[in-house]
Amino acid sequence: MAYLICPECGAHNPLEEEQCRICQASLVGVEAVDEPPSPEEPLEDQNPFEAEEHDLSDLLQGLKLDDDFEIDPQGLPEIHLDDGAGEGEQDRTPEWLDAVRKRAQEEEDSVGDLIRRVESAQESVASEGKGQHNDFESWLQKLRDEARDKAAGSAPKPEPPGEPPGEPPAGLPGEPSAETPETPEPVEPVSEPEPEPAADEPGDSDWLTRIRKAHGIIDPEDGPNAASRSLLDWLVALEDNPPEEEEEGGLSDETQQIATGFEKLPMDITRQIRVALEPKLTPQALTLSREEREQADLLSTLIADEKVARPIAQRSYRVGVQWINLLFLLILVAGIGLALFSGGTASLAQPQPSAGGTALVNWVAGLPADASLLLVFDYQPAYASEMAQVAAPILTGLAERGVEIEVASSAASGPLLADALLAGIGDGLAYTDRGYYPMASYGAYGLATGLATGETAPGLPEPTLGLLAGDYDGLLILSDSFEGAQTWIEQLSARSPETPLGILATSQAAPLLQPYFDSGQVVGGVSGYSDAVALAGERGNSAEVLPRWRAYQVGGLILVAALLLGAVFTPAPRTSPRKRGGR
Amino acid sequence: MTSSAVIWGVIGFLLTVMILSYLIRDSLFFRLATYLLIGLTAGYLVVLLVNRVLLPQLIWPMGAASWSQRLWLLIPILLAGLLLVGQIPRLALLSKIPLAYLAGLSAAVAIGGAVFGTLVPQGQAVLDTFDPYRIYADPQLVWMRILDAGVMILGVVGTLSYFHFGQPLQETKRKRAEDRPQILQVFSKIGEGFLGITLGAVFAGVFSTALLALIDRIAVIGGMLGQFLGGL
Amino acid sequence: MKKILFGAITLMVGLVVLAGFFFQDPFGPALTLIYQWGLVLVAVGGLIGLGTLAAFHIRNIIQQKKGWISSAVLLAAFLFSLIAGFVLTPQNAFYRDLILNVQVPVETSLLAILAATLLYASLQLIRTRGWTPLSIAFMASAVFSMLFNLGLIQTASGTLGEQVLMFFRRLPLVGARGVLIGMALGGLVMGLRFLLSTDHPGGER
Repeated sequence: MAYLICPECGAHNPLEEEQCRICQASLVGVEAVDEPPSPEEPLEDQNPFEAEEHDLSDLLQGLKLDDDFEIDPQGLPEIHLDDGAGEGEQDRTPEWLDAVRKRAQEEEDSVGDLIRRVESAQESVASEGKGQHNDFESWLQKLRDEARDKAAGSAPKPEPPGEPPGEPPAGLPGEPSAETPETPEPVEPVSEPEPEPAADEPGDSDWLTRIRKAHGIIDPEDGPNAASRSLLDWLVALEDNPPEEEEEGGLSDETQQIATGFEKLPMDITRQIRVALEPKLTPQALTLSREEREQADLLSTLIADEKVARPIAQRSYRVGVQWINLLFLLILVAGIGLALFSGGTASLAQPQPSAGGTALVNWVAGLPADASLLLVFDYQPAYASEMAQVAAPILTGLAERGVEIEVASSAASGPLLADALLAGIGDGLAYTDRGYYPMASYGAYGLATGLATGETAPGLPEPTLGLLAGDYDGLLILSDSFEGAQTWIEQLSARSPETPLGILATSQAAPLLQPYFDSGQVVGGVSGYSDAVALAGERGNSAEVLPRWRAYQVGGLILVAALLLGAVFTPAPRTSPRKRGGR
Repeated sequence: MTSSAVIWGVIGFLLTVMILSYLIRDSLFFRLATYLLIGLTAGYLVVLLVNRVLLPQLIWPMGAASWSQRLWLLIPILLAGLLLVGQIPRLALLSKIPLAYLAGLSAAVAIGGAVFGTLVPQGQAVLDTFDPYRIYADPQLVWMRILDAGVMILGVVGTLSYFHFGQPLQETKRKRAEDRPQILQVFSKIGEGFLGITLGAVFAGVFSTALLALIDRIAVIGGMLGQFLGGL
Repeated sequence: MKKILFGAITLMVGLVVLAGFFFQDPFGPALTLIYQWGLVLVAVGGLIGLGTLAAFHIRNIIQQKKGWISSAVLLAAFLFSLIAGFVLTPQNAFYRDLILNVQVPVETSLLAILAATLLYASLQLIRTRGWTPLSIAFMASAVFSMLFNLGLIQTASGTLGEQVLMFFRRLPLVGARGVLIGMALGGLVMGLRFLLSTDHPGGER
């Protein structure tokens, strides 16, 4: 059967799904994969839950493996899903599972309660089921005799030689029946006699096994657990409130076969079975709420993950994308290196300054000589290189005009960066440190409040460093991110709109700050590296920035090439399953 | 070049190489460099918070203040104490008082900034594009201004509509979304285009910034290698 | 009762601060006070966070958990920076060089790695997103923005071409304005939810 395997969570999805049913990730472009069992390790062995009974609720599937559960002395179920696992492997239970088990033992929530219910059901099935078999021994013998008597006149009909043992006989429909097991209609008695069981088969005493064998439902190769599993299949078939999946998608094939086989039994035998079974089964039935069922499914999935190898999607491509990536990276690094160290004066083009950049230069040029300006450092050390180039034209202009500079920081490294940056402007730009504000919004709000009121609370102690109450002629925000600059713009626009505000921002912050330039909330700003290079060119400093500008052009062109080539030569993705989670 | 500059240069060079080794594979060197950064920055931050915030805002004023002023200063000390004591699990409830205080302050600052700093001015800016004085300011460009205003209102409304429908829809909710007025669905599609244009510009900006960082590091490595090779 | 108390504190502080946006002068002193207390609390909160970070790594080292060597490096750097900062003060030239000469190379190099990652993402943009209106607009805008930034698309001043170019350069602004207004609306709603205690930063209701 073909599936779409979610590239995010590895869940199986039907072919028609566009989004993963589990994590909602897009399945567009994901190729369908068949789920063939690998030659050396059949899929049923990897994950018995998925292989043939995926329509059943996980809880009931878990219950079916009653022989794999043992009651641990501490009262917790020790789950062995992999019969081949050694003791050493069982000891290496992951911490998360230990935590789940511990929680189930100690806590009273629904998950713990659910596990206890499962546990009690396990015990109940183990003990009562065994007792039933013993009690029914004579009754089963009677049934056998009756069946022999009815079939005495007709010869045994051997199974067609070419038919695989697991296939249902021709008399059993392969398609799911719309009828539920609760309302069986009378059918013709089965004409074929039950084959004599082999004396050495351990499940011979189990009447359900025999019924299933008679109809080709059960594989004779099944181990000793087949009997108890089939008992639980009956539980599934007789469930009063079948899970929603069954209501919507129909019963699983095996359950259908059991149900159909049940209907094909003589009416009186069916009635006897029902009468004999129903009172015994009632105490074992679990009544689960929807929430509990979901939690059980989750728990079951987690447990199944512990040791069972599951195929999950791993993207791979027809062309080695990693090699293409590496090739582009090498081209990028080599191009930048050549542009930086090759020397020469050539570059592709000289940028033009933006309107905001020109406006800020003009505003600085118009400041009075005794103006006081507050610089707010709101960028991280990673952006120091770009910010130095973005700020250089404006700070040089300020130094030339002899403007009084004060500095506040809303980034932790702001005081250090301010010191390093201003020391490199001309002969060093003198400034007064006005402190550090651990949250940009508080710093901006405090500054705006100080500017608006111009005083601190009367009768209160004056902070030594703290309130940015001052009569500034303007503010310059040096920011590496849109959010940082936006905080300052918002607070100052809201509380002190008459204070001129300029922005020196990195290339990444510039696009989303454009609306503030456009609305007039900001008098101007140098937005990004190309703007800085353009302004440096106007100041006659092109030669200083040329090597890096050339390297930037090379890198930018490689990005454009990558975008276009990536679109033109899009390799079709294919998914191949890889195993994960096995030990 | 001074000896200290050489030492710091070599340290910077080594740290750069350790971090860039991540491009080949995640290695011990990469992790050591990042942990070193976190440790140094954390220590520096403690020093900064104490020296630049707590001392000037709380401790030094306490020494210089009158008794009545000290009573005022006791309030933040009490709140800070509750925040500290609240780290004990049994007394966690106490920390909710200063947290409630901070929540009220942060929420109000955010609301005021959003409304008066963005919502009103940006809404006004959208309307200003339809200002006749602006449109007819240059008779040669009237059609361009009208086009500009039309695109502005269409793009802003479309982007806001796209926000509305942008959430991943569950299968069960999809039908409800399709039942919404068709005009909003059309605006949503238009907004998707404008949002793509904006995000594309942001992407180019982010790449530019990262590229400049790469250029800076290559320049540092190249410069350092040049000095070593030149000195041999 | 407890929830009412916390809600009342949040609401009271929030209302005073909000009132300050409308009536600046009468609320000025109270706002200054509230703001200063907030700053102190944020600083104490930061110290608590850093203490938790240190405690976590101390535990890692004591219990010799996986990666405890990295934790030891972190803790050594933390203690060195802390002691040096208090002894030398943050204004000391050596201390400033120490912090900046580690922070700048490491953080810039991390940002440089982002350049490589974005380059890979560019190669796979259409493959992962498909040919949708969003991806087409994204790619076209990224290409043209980059070419604008590189100075490769220019026109003569005062021409019709310049106006057309300006029009296209303003297109990202349109979406950005929509984004800003949307964010402001979202911030307004979230802020009101906090103030009215229908939502809490810790996720509690």
